[in-house]
Amino acid sequence: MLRLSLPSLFLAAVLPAAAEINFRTQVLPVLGKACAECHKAPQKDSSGKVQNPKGGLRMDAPSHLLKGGSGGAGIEPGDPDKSLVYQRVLLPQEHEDAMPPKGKGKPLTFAETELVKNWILEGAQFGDWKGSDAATTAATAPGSPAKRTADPLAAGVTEAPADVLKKIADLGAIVGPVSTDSKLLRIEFVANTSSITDKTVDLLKPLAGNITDLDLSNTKITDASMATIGTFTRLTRLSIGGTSVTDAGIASLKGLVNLDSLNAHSTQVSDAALATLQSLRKLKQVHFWKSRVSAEGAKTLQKSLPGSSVSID
Amino acid sequence: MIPNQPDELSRRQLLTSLAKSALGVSLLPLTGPTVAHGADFVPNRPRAAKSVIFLMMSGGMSHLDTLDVMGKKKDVLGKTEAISTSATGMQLSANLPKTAQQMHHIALLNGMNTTQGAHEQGQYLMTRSYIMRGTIVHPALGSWVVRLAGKRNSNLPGYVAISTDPNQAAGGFMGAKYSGVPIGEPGQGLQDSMRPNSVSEADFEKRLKLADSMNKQFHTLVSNPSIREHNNLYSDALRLMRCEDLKGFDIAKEPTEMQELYGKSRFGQGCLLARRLVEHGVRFVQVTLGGWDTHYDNFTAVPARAKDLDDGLAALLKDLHRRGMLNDTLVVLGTEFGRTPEIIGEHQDGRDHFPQAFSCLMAGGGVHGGTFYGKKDDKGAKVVEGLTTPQDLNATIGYALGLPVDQVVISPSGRPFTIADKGKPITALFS
Repeated sequence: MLRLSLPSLFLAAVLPAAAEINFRTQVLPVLGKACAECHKAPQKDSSGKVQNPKGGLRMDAPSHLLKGGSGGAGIEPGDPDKSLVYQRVLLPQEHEDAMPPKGKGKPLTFAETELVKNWILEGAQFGDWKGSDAATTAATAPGSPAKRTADPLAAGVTEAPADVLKKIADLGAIVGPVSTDSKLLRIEFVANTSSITDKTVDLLKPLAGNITDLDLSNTKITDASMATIGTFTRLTRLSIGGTSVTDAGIASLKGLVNLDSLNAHSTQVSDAALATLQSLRKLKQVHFWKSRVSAEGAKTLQKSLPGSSVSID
Repeated sequence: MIPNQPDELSRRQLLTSLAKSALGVSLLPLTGPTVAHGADFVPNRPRAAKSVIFLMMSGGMSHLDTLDVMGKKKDVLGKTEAISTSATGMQLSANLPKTAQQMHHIALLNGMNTTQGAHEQGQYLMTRSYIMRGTIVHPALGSWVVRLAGKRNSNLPGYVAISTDPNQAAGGFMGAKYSGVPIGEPGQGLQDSMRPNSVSEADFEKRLKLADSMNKQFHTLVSNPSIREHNNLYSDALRLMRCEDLKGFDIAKEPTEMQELYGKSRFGQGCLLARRLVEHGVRFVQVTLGGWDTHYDNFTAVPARAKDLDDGLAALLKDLHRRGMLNDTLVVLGTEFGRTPEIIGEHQDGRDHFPQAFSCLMAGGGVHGGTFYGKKDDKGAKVVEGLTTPQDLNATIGYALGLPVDQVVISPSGRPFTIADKGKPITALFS
């Protein structure tokens, strides 16, 4: 009897498990009990002070476990020797780096440390456990929607028709919201600019209330497009540098009261266009390099628009 | 012929890199279905920058002789003098007179500090955000940017590396499709991208059809993702070859006075090419200027290098501004470390490596110009305010572009990485 069971026990230790270890049902309860209290997302305690995770290590999501803390990777799949989580729970309790620290919880049993080791050896698969991974990106991204104040321009904007967006994107344009929380659109024609014409701009008509940022530099548009663009009432930025737009085209912009930036370098635009621009009180940045606008004209426009920069060079 | 600086690319390295690109390795399906087209990318802040031009000063640029002269003691500045700039109260070294006239666009990062004191390791950390290891190659910053933001112009590569060691532009674990397309000589543009004159368009078309008909049978017999990927590569190469945007690579199309504005040096012409590429929608361009390793004769070597930098950088800022592109284009000047405040007399007044404190700069891309962030003591030896790591710098670049800087990308080995490791963006630089 004894002769038979010893080798099988031995085998059980070397070849840990025929079935894969399940992280959620087997490993998570062990780590949850011993580690989670100190290694979680930063939180405010009762006095309002922020408590950061100990050693910079969070254990509440796969990405945090893999990334580790100030000491290095928490879990290195396939390599228990390089997985600090496993190394620290192995240390004798007297060791200053031993986990959990003295008085903060019971040391792991041999069976538990073996479980963690074997799970790492099997490749540290987390299965369907996502922990806080789903939420972290949105919450900590700089400039995340929650931190920003509402844009008055965005009031009353309706969803842009998807088929129109697709048609324009297929022409090689960049089409999308100006930022993650906005229905306002930016449209940029950078690729194949010589095939972008007044006909292309006609396609934008259904988006007249959505477009806030439009780049048509170096395209083949003419003053005819400017009449269409003149109806884009939420437009704040317009680039028509290197096009054949003239003073007549600029005159079509007189209703664009939200416009704050106009780029008309390398065009035929001249001082005759400045009267229209003077009436656009939100204009802050105007570029006239290589246009027919004079230095005098640029200076006068800059003076008449408080806080603006009108440059011809 | 300008002799190569010891840390610049040799002809041999250049040929190797060009061979790689000509074989299609780096032009690989950047447009493939796995890569998000720029249209899918939505910046997480409004008016984020659209492109980056990263000027890498390779060799360790001496901060005291270039960007950080303000309030410094005479004995650490040596022969270097301070001059006033276009921004009130701000000074630069007299080695950068033209850049000084663009100071109103520039924010100096004077609190830079790194842990790496050797060139390769220092450059690696600066351009990849992680410490160099034997077991993995981390993706270059340009690879990260294209991975997270996609391309702006689907006809062109998203990441181009000019006069840059191709290893430094490698996509690492993200693979060749995210590597920078290397350009050795800016004036030569993208090599082997034109149909040879000896083959007419009709003949070329015939040959393609023939190859296609032969391939067809094979493709019906064998279906394999890597074969399909290779096939995509051909169609991408053809598209690039035939699209009008290819002229973005050709600085010969620029008027003479424009070529002169940027200076005739390789770096200057590289900056001109960078502007042209960004104008055509390339997302990330790196231009490298070597020769900053001034252990010997610092006060002759630095002014010589600084001239190329000054011509190129000042022209770039001026040109981007007048084209109305500066708000959308973040210009960054980086280097692996600074150089010692002590001037070493027995080395003909040289300066050694100094990782403790150095300087970089940012301009455009929504950055407030005419300012500085971070401060060193009056010897330029210690950061006393606003300590900034290479990771912080890279996080700031990500922030400028409206990227999710904490988005985790898992390497094939199962490890999580982010564009700037644990770096924190300097949001104070932006409006």
